[in-house]
Amino acid sequence: VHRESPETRVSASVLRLHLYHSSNEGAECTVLTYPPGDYVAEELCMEAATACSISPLYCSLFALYRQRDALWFSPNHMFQLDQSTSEDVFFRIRYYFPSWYSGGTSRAYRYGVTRGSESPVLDDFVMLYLFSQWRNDFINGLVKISDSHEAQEECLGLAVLDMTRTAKERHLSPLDVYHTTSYKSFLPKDMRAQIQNCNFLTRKRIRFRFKRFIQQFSQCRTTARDLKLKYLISMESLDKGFYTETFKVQELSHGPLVLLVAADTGVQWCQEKLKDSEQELQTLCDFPDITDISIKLASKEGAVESRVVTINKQDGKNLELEFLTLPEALSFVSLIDGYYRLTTDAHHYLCKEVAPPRLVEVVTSHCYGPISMEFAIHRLQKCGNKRGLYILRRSPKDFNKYFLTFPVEVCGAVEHKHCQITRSASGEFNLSGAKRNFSSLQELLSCYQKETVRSDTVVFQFSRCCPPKAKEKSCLLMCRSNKSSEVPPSPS
Amino acid sequence: TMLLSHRSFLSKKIWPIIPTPDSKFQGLFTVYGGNFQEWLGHTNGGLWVTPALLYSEERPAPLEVLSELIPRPSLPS
Repeated sequence: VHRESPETRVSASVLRLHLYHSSNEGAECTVLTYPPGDYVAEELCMEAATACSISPLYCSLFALYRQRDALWFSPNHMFQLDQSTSEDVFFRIRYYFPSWYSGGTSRAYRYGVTRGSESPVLDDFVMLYLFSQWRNDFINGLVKISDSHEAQEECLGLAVLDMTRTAKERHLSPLDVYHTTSYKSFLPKDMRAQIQNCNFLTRKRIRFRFKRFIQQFSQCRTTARDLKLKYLISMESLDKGFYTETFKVQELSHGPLVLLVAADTGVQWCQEKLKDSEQELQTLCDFPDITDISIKLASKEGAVESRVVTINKQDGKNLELEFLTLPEALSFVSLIDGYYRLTTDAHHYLCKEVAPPRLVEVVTSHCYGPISMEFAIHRLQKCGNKRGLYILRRSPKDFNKYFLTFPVEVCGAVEHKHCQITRSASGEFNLSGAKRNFSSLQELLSCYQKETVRSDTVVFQFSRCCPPKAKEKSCLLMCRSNKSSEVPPSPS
Repeated sequence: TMLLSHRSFLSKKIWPIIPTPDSKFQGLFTVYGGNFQEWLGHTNGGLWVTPALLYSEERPAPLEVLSELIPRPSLPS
């Protein structure tokens, strides 16, 4: 992976990675640029996340997206770019959990060590990113919104929030913004056109009512953050298109189908010809029901491109879905795989064709994902804090750091220490304080497991690894809003 | 009656019902006195109040691999 990236001259750059984030005020978007070379999607995501202050814990909600053909890339996708090619991709939140903001009984959350220590699905950095992403989708009409009276009022409400937010960020009054920027520029482009088509009097009435309300609303005590939060909450209820992906497939017994995938509902389908009618969506499967997924070439003659995705389920049944192209099949499978890791097992992949390279690395070294220190200590306690036992885990803060956490006895009491392993840009691993470098985590561990090490005055060995358990509950896993009425089980 | 229905047709044409943002902020001024955060919390059945997962900062422990050290007489084996 080439790393001399963002500062190289723009003229030489062929890969542009767009972020809904800006380091300087005013700009809407930042672009990271890369010269010709090979780039793995997952590595690009980590660089983008670092540029937006998004920590490893939340990075699993993101993926790369190409707007041109509405295609998501799997984390192991390799962009191979020479002088003559160019690519524009967006760093976007792909995995979304409705009601993440709620404090009520039906809310989505991350499991905690104990009941009461659950944590939110998103932090403020991710929330602000989501705001910029969804605002972009809303204004540019990327999500089709109904033209009912109800939806139009919701859109005007969103415009009020957005105009007030703009004013706060620029230290102006909302009326100042109203007078310099048309309120219509805060609305989806379809609605702008609809208003444009109304007669003069109606347009004037809409504008007048909007202005009157902006005036009243400016008396509110609020902050830009709360306005953004309300914007997101309203958008979630406005249209599930903001967080639902659809795919067109052939299913053996049903013919052409449209698949809909979202966190709370799993994989649903409807018949293509009835898509816009009020037909009920059928559930095909939920993420925890899946055991593995495979992709193979469709055997049909003529359709050289098409791929059959087979989803094997826990009940022994399987589903066969035919996609028109391989990229579409990979996009679908990586979506299911990602949701599986966020809802069911954080250390498992369903299909090796889309498996994130860092996850494969972590799984083969019996390493945990970026769990918190509390989880690591809790797990060691459950294992009796025995001498020689250790947990290997990714750092929750730094994509290129790992920790070895282990119990030691100091003056008769158990303490936990955390030794750091760093991964260099060239992929070499070094245990901080040790001299040698290794090409993999496994090699590093198999070397030092035979050694005696010392920290301060304590002498010990890393002899027995405490690996992640299948489907273990931790802060890497989400409890979904439609499941959270159940009592959250404490991780064991 | 002809005249009446004609009038209502005309008034709909000239004075149609227009969408306004007001209805999306019910209670904000009347019940919560313009306190946006309080209104937001109540209309959504309570908001998540705890901030994002606060990691306790782990202090990496200093480490020495004994075999990699140059033996010094003062070291305990």
